[in-house]
Amino acid sequence: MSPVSVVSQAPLLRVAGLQKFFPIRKGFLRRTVGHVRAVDGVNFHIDEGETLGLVGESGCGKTTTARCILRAIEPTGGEIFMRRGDGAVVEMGGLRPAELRALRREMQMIFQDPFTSLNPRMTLLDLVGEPLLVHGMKSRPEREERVADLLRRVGLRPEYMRRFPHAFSGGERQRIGIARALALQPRLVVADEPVSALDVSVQAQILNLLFDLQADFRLTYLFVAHDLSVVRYISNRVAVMYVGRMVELAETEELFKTPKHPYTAALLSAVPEPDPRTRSRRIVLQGEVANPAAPPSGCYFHPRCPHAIDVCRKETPAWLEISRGHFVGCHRARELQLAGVE
Amino acid sequence: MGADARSPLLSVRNLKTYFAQDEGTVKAVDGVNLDLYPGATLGIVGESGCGKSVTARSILRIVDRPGRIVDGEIQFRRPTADGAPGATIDLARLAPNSPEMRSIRGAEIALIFQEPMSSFSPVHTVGNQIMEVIQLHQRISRGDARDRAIDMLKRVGVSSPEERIGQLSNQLSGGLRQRAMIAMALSCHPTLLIADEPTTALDVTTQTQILELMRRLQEEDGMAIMLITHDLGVVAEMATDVAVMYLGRVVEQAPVDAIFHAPRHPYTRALLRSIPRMRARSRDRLTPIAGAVPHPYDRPTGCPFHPRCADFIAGRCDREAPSLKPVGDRHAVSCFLYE
Repeated sequence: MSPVSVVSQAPLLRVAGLQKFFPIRKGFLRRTVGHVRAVDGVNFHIDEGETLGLVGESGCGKTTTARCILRAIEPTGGEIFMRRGDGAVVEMGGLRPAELRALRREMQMIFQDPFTSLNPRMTLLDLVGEPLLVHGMKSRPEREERVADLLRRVGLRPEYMRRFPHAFSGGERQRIGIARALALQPRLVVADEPVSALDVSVQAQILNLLFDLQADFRLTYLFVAHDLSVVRYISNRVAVMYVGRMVELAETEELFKTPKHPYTAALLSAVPEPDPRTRSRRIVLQGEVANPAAPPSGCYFHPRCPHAIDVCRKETPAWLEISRGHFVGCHRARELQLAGVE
Repeated sequence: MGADARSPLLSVRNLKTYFAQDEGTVKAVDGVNLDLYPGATLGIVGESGCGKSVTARSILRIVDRPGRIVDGEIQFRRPTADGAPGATIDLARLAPNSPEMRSIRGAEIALIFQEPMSSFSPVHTVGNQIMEVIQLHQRISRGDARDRAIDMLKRVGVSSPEERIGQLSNQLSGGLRQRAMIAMALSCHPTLLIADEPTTALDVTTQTQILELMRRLQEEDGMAIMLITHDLGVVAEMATDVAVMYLGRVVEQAPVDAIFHAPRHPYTRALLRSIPRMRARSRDRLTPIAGAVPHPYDRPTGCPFHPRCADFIAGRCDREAPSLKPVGDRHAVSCFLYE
């Protein structure tokens, strides 16, 4: 497919109505008896050079969304637009395999677990150099030079190039994973829980590194995480998901100070602060996260929502922009006064 | 020997639990000192490999081979028949499978784990497992044990416990499983509950429910809690006192307010500076701790924290190991800066 349009100010990535359903199969014939609606109508965009935090609890569809964007899995519905290096905006579903391969160079992933995401039989040189080789850098000395440079950029000594990952700590391994992701000079980096497997004292090192690399290489991050304090630190804007749907999206400070969705407010209040003087009455949500294979009627959050009224049980709330750049999917968004963090 | 409320329920002195392996000895716990008072909550915080879980397993005498307690005391105050605090017993001297240890473990000292999935048997019903614990420690009929199990499940907020009792653990959600686990742990009214990362595997809204539940049950039953976690937020929320561990040692112990507002040990201070906070402005830089936790075979000499310490005194910290010294009311620090 040829480029749809050429607009230089278009967002780097735009996701519209994204859906991903997984079939539930039963019986000898593996007949499909239903669907898990893992992602069900997600909309957002990311501008070049910014960080969008994507938060939610386990099973909310945040990782599935990330995997759809990278085309690691095929979405069921919706469109994903990416602005290529040449300025052309393309819809990924309509690309030919060769075009998709070329586009993939521009988006890379950083994984959660640095212990299982690196092949233990490959040296740092092989690990970081592999993407270079695959994308055509055949000369070994050239590759070594580039790998040494990348290792320096992520704070590792290039002399360690011939060592294997087991010789490194969790934080260092995460640096190796970051060097590998950066090898092809991507523009979009999808980081899926990149610090949640690390010790607290090491988390800060990796977050600062991601911050510096973003400034140096003008990277755009989609930062998937469940830890709200980490997300607050790294993100320009934050999107909150619940059972496959997006419930709120706003600039970080605005979302934390004046949440408009009761689920966001509950999530914010649930995070224990590392300060015994702020022990406060938390919003304790009743019940459990809804089952995405059999979600409740209306707003998926209504069975646990302290503010639910009749309409919430019957109708799916619309995705509304209630103030500039602040989107909410809640029937009562305009009337509720919810507490955030100061 | 009688005891008032001010004498500790649990007093650990110079505990050393080592793992002898082909590559060398891992000193997982290397001279730990702790005091836990009746009805209090002691938070034990530290990063991976600091020995917090091995300390808990040593107290319960369930350290896996080749781990062994090589030195130290674990003085535990047992209740008398009418429930009042009685004499102490040194758990470190008991054989792990002795009748005394077995009457303490699971009854007077109970344990809840991080992973409720692997701590229930997948082939027995949740009810049967709770009833087994009750009948192991008390001479009551199966019917009474069943009633007790249902009561306990009701107390921990499991809806329709009569049905849940007949289910297998994999039929329950993560939050419900952790509730069932707490019901099992508290079914014999322990005086000490050891909770090892009880909410780490849970989502944050479920974590709030479980922490709230633990607080309510402690108010009702008055047991002491040893809460092991890497999450400083959870500690600030729950603990009355905190012990900070690093590489097998307690580097600082103090009341919770002092740990967060007047920390003394350089490690405690650096740790508090390094964590991202909900109330911080977004996109402000963090202050990390340099380096990483050393490999257990590669233990630094002297103070274990000295290679990462900003206040390191050359010639002193790398040669001698400091010991825990009092610096204030119930506040002790293991650092040469305060000697």
